[in-house]
Amino acid sequence: MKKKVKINLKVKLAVLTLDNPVVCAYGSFGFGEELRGLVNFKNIGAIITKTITLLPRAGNPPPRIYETGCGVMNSVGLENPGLDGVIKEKLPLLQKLPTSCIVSVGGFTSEEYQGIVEELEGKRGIDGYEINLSCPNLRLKRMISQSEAATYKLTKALRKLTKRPLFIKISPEVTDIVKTAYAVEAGGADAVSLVNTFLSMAIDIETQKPFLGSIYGGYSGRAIKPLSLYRVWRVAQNIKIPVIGGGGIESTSDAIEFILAGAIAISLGTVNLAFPNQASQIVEGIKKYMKRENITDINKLRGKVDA
Amino acid sequence: MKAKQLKVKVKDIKKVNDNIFLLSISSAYLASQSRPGQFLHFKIHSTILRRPLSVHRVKGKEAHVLFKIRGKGTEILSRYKKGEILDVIGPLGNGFFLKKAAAMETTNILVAGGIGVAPLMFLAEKLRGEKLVLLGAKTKKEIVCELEFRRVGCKVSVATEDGSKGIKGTATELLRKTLMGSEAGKINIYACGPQEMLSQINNVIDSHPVLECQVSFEQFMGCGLGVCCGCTIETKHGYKKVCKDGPVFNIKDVW
Repeated sequence: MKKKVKINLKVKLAVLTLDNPVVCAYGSFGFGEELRGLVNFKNIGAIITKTITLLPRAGNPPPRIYETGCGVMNSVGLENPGLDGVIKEKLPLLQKLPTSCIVSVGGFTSEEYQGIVEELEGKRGIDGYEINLSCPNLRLKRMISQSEAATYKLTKALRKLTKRPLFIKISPEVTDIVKTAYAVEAGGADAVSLVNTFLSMAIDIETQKPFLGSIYGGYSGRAIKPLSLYRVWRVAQNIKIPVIGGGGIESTSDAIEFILAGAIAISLGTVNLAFPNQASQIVEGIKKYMKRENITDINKLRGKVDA
Repeated sequence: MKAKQLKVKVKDIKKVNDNIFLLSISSAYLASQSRPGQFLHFKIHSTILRRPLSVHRVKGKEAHVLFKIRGKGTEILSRYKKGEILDVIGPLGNGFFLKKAAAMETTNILVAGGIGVAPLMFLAEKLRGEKLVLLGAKTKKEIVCELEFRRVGCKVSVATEDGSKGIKGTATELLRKTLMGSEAGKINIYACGPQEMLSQINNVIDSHPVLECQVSFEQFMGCGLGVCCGCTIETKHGYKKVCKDGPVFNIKDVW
């Protein structure tokens, strides 16, 4: 009889245990329910919702998405139904999904972020918050995570409001991302999530106009993978709280690279747009890799890069 | 009509002219479930996002897609060979709304600008009543499907920008002329083409009231499933998703 090897894929993020380390990033998975029938939710570690803001947002002028040779630019601009709309229309369906659900929270002011978290504290079926301090499409002078002081202050304020897992999503558009991660850690967050998209632009030489309706946008997809992997590795080496790592992950081997670089969980974004069930595929791929490498616990693989 | 992610075989791929191709895929599901105006979302190798292409017509267990080389994705697709496998999600989008009781006294006018002809063939097959197709393109070479439309009982008029076939001008001008000689309020219009053409059609029908005008839009698209909000267009009711709210809209909901 073939001996069955038990493989542990469970990872712990504060009080939350994920069945496996593969999560779907904000903006690439809607509120989950839109993808019913195409996705095996039971096999996904967690989904992170579309970012919600206090008031409904129409988003940026079209076109909003453009594929370049090796990546994807977007300038969606956090189109969402706003907090009340989400609570009424989306939350009841989100609660029914057989996976962990992290709500992505966005805003323009510290008060807005706090207001949303306070309101959601009273709602069931939310397994944690990912605070989006790094959307590149809000036309702000700077994103909150581009200031270490502001990142620290807001993280600390939100920490006081919730005992639920609190993750902070930060931008790679800084001189030293480790310093941003320190601010997140010092503020009391349970994990830091990186990277958000890189600022980017493309011009149509026929019309001499930018391809994106709002001129520039966030760059994601396979082109940014080496950039995000480096940043995840650097941050993971320097902070004590866990790192949720992503940026351009498409395949099992990409995902394993991020785990070896020190990520406790890995997030899929752009790839979900083409392959909504890719998270599930990657989970199976990670299992196969672990069997081959004779590793029974995913937690033994983390940070094992020989560097 | 639940969308499924399927692996389908290329049954045939034919060059129609310089840069327009007719792709046939084997899929009983897509052939039986697709409705006119809906699209299929193709994953083409060496690209990142899928490419949305409307269903041109269905035949037995095959779905046909007529596409023009517009960029890297469609260029690679044109080089697929018979027997190769494509990953496709579909059918997607809302398609054309077909009235059940097609009153005999109404006329259907189908207006195609360039490759906008693609979804209108499938529609022409399903529409009942009188059908007039107005084909517009830059040159004679780019006028496609004329014979096929006649075969399914349509009258066809042609316009080319260089005058190499039909009248010299655009499909919109053909529409203006047609509407001038017709009785107001007894015409249904279905159009697909560049956004500028659709906006001109809106101007034309303002001076010649019609029963209804449905238009199919195209836009750079992400997921095709309504989650990324990438493919929006601007309408008088705010931004709308081409993938989920469209690709077919009532023109009066847009302008």
